[in-house]
Amino acid sequence: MDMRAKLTSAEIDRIAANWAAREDLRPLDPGEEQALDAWLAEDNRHLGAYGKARAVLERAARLHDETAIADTVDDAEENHPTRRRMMISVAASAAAMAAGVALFMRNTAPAEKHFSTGRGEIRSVPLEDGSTVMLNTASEIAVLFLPEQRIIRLLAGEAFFQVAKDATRPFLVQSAGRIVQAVGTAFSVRRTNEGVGVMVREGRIRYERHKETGTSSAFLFANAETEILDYQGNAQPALQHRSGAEMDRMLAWLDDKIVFDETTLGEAAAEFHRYNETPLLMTPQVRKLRVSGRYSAGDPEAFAQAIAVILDLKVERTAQGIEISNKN
Amino acid sequence: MKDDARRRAAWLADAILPHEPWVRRQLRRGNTLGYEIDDIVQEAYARLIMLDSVAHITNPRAYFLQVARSLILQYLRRARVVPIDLASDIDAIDEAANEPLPDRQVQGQQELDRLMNAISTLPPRCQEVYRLRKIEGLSQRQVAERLMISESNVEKHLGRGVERIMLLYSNDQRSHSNDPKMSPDGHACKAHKR
Repeated sequence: MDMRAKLTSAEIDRIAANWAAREDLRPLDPGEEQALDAWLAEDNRHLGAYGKARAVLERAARLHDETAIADTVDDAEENHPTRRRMMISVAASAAAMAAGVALFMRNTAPAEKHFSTGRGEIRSVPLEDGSTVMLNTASEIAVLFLPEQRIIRLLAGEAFFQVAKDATRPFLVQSAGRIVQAVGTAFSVRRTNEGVGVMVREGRIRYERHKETGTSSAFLFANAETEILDYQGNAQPALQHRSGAEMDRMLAWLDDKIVFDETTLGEAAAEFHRYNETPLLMTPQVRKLRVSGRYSAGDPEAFAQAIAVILDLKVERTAQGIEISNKN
Repeated sequence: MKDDARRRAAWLADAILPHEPWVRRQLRRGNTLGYEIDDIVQEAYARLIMLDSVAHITNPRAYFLQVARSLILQYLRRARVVPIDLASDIDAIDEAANEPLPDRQVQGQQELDRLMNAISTLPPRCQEVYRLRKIEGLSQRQVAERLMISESNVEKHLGRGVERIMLLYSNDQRSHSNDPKMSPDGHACKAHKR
């Protein structure tokens, strides 16, 4: 039995808050790192409170970023460059690029139009400026066209944009607080539990850099993809160059197809599940097998039959889904 | 362990934290069988941090509630108590998980207002530190110089701010976090000191 008095939840929160505040201001020294480790190991509740304290700072930063942008817009509208604007100059590069996005946050915002797709549905949405958006499965966007800006919010899933050129009216895509700007180009933005990624097929885009590198922006050119927000916390998400063929493979969903290239069956099953209610169920060994090829996104059964032949597996349709296992 | 927490902080901020008040409401509505909601929620965060991946979680709010609920069951198993009315509570929870999510648009502005309100309840010094650091983005040294306080005091004041916002997401249900509380064995706690 631990002889120390057990801390109350409020006390735990207070200690966790102090650690998180300290880390927000400066890196911990080795002694402090050790002390924190020891404290976290004492009780799961300590770890939980510490995680929440870190999350609180993260969320507050996002909320404040959005107001900084709103302030810039207010200033611009009132037409006097002000002290206020100087104050928030840290956020200025992002803000300049994003000014219009802040309008969402305000009650006076012009009406946004929402478009969404269900699971397995792929939908083309023509926009009034001549651009088109392809919405992938289980996705949602909100579209707002202003005189100076075209603003799309990706609320869920993935969308591919073919942007009509209009240099006077930037095309902005915002997702999870990150902003991507295009003038005339074709690119996709995907939002998952792990972060937000962009992929450029033609032209170039400008996007906000990852938090740790400050609020700067960077360009991404054709045949490249990168993560612009990584919930897993990698400081510098890798920028990947892709061949045209690889790009086409990753954008195969535009033709209702899924393409695998030495992909594990586990990952393939997850990909099919994005488009289909019926899950592909398999044993751990089967999940590790690899597959290549081009398949219909909406037909997991055909995929199962195909890999059964290629990899010599057994396929069974059950109440739970399509079960794939080793033969014998 | 702390690296897990650091890695997952952005996801917690985005997908979990805004739903904490809701999860607490659901827990309060059901029967927590005498277990403290504060304890359950803190431990639920820990479980979410310890997950290898969160890629499979499509409905984070419902998942958060699930985790909290399973913790109650786990505590029970440890205590070897078999409750009679738990099944009906679980049904109620499942129904609640299907409630529509709040409108994201409206949420942002309201949430910021609530946050600033919470900060405004702090002593003036704390408010200033919070504003200079989190809104104007000054460094620890700059904040200290501006307010003519020590750098370690900057840490303490910002800590109060973080604690206050944590309480905000606990929905202010926990009473008087600033009062010295009595620990279970009757000693007054010195929570300010590590």
